[in-house]
Amino acid sequence: MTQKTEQSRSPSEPYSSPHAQVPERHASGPNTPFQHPEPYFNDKTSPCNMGCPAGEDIVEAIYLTAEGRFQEAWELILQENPFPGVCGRVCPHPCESECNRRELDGAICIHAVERFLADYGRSIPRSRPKSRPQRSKQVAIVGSGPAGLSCAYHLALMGYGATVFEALPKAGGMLRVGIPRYRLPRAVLDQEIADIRALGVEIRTNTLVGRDITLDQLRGFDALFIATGFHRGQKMDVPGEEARGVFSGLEILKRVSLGEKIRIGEQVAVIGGGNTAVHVARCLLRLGCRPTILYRRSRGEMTAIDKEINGAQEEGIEIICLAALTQILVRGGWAKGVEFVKMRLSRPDESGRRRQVPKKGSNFWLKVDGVVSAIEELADIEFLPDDIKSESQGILVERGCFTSRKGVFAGGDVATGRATVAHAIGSGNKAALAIERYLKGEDFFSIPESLGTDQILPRKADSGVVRFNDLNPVYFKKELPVPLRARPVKTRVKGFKEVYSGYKAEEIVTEAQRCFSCGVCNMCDNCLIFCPCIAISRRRGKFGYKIDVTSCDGCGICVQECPRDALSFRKVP
Amino acid sequence: MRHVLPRSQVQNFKIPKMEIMGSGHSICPGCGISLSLRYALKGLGRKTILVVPACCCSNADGSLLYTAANVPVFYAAYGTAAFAVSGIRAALDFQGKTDVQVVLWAADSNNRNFEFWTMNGADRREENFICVCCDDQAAIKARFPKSDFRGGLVEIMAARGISYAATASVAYPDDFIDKFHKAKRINGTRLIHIHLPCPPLWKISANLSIQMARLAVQTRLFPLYEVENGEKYTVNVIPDRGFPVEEFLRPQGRFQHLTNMQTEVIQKDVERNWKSLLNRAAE
Ligand SMILES: Cc1cc2nc3c(=O)[nH]c(=O)nc-3n(C[C@H](O)[C@H](O)[C@H](O)COP(=O)(O)OP(=O)(O)OC[C@H]3O[C@@H](n4cnc5c(N)ncnc54)[C@H](O)[C@@H]3O)c2cc1C
Ligand code: SF4
Ligand code: SF4
Ligand code: SF4
Repeated sequence: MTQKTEQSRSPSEPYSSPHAQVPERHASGPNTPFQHPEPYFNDKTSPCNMGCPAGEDIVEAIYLTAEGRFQEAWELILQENPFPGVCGRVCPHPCESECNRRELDGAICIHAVERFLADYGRSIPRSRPKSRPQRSKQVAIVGSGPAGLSCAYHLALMGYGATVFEALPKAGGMLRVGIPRYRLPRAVLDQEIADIRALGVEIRTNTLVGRDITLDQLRGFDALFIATGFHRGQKMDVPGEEARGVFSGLEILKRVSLGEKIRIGEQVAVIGGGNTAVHVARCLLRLGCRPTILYRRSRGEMTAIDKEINGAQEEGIEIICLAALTQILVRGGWAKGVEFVKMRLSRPDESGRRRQVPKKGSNFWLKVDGVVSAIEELADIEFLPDDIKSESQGILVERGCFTSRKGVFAGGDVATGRATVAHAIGSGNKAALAIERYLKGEDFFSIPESLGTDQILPRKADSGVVRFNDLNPVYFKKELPVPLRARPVKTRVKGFKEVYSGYKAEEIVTEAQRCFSCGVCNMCDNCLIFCPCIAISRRRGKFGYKIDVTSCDGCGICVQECPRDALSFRKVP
Repeated sequence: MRHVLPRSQVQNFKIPKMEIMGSGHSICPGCGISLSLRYALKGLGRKTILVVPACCCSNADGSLLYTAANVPVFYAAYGTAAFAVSGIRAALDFQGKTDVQVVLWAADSNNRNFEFWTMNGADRREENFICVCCDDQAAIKARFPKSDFRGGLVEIMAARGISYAATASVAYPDDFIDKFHKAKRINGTRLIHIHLPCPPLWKISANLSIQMARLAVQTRLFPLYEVENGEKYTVNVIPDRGFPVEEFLRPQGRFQHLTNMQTEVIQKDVERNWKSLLNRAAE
């Protein structure tokens, strides 16, 4: 009987691992002892690893966590990501959207594990990661956001000197001045930045490149990395915008973050649907205002992280969608009201997209004491010379980080477009790899093209990604994930204390034990137990097994019965 | 990174690590016989003598002068295994070696048709041995296998009140080994009926054999249970959810001809059997 390679399997079809294909000749009938395909242990890539833009080795870290080896797990994450404490809190976790366990009973709470490990790491005395011997080459980095700092971190680990120039009085970029404290406590951020500094990275704050120091003055450095993010507020282009009481969203977040005072009335209209709008509204709520979010598109199109939008709604913030601002009413120099027109979705056009069109006569007014423009920020890159090509969306790059000037690299939001902290970290990591090659004198074409893609490719394992259909579902039973624990709305809106709380060690171990370990052997012994030829044996005192290919008769049971697709068949020449 | 051995919590089956059987047998790829023998020896230990009549099982411990079983094996002629068992048992008892188990290990229809009668006699004599029937369902009437699926062997022997009768499946190694371990500690005639995947006969590919054996249990076609002294029934594995028997039948080449109606009849039969088994277990 032949087998099909299944893409989607109906529950009544028997499971058959696509990797356990036995050629027809061997499918049934007597033993053909001399030429049969032979099984071999072949770790593959788990979808969570593939889904992490920062390139963390998630399966491995979860495995170590499940074994209670927290410090090793934490150090493993640090190999890729200097900000596990930050990411465990703020990352919208694309890894979990890829997690195979979703198809059974809910993804592994990867971000909770990451957060736990980072908190654990902060709580123990430890040795810092060791950098390689010092080299003479120096790299200048503009912008101390996650992209700039992770690039500096990896360069420092490789032994290069890294100096970071930051316009603001404190390092961290959006982590410092965008993401509020109730989402990211500053102690976590401070500690992780201090760890980067401890590697010898110099961060010069209050230095706006282009004003306090020019790009030409940085020519003394051997390479330059630009990661300046999106920091320029956009104009709303409506009458009344210049009135007092109209603020830029980023400005408010910056002031709240840096502990400065803000004078804004009670009733505030926050215009926009991105992260800035949501967080401005939630910050204002905590400062005693009554904010309303108004967004010109539909709820589904809001670019803010979904969980945060829900959080805002839980806290009682009203979100009015499909409402476009038309003008701001000014009385005595102060903004006193806002006028909106309701939008509706047009019929789908040729491309099937539905646009927003104003509904005639649907205008309405809101009485307000303040208005915040939180529409998406733009890149502030006027300081760049002409030979570094850019457009309004940011700096143009090739293979992920090469600008049009030799020796100048760019990454993070400003090069890859508006994204997330994890994307910025991944971008910084890849830039560090590219810069190292550049500094060693290798040319552009020696740099793998994969650097330009969104994903960091797996290191040792087979790059085939193991999907749910490749697993043997028989061995996995339903166990629900640990629930997230948010502080009750009543208390949390009274201040800037963190909304979500962490987990206890036992909870995290239980959660980590839910992991399928997709594609990576965890010594479950199944193959050894089911091998009819007793060809598989444990390696004494070591991880893993040996296959005695002379005893093996190529039945394929081991490949089939491996719960996690960690074995493959290969043809013997 | 994974250089330290993991804790055992990742293991799906808790079974003894000790390996008595070695590699090098000469059975077909994917056959359950060698697995059965291997698990059985894990449960029985080294103090075991196997008596194997002429059948598929004669291949299970290797060919020519070599043995993979690593315990003494006595090859008996057709239809004489039970006599051989009696003789060996008597000799052992005479020497006072009562801790050595004698196991009649036979496969397929051979056991049902020939050894069964001699075994009957052995049972009458209240002989002290373990009889293992590796049932690859070769005797099943392929045209319409309705009644043949019933685990008749265990029922017949249980009705005669033997001290221990049980079914076992290679897809459930922990349960399998437990049963042999238990049988070892009981005196008298003991029977273990093993459901044995046979890829060439069932017309499935070799790698699917464990999967199919498991489906036989999950569809309740081959329930895993034991009967002590012909009275005490225990169902050892209750599948979380009963799959339709179709899942077991359809992938097999030998059942391709079954019509939907026939499958339904089998399904009903299986359900009736399962219910009556549960009832007996509840008594
Ligand atoms: C309000 C808000 C909330 C967000 N929430 C989340 C979230 O919860 N999760 C998530 O994953 N992502 C979130 N994001 C997105 C995320 O913050 C960004 O994608 C990420 O910070 C981009 O990192 P970066 O290093 O590219 O740039 P930034 O973090 O923007 O850092 C750039 C740095 O460069 C400095 N700089 C700029 N120009 C100059 C210059 N000329 N000279 C010197 N320094 C300069 C800036 O001051 C800044 O410190 C949020 C964004 C905002 C605005
Ligand atoms: S189950 Fe584990 S290995 Fe598989 S995708 Fe989820 S986290 Fe990754
Ligand atoms: S189960 Fe054993 S005999 Fe079968 S392919 Fe794997 S190693 Fe070979
Ligand atoms: S069956 Fe278990 S032990 Fe064997 S390769 Fe797969 S994960 Fe590893």
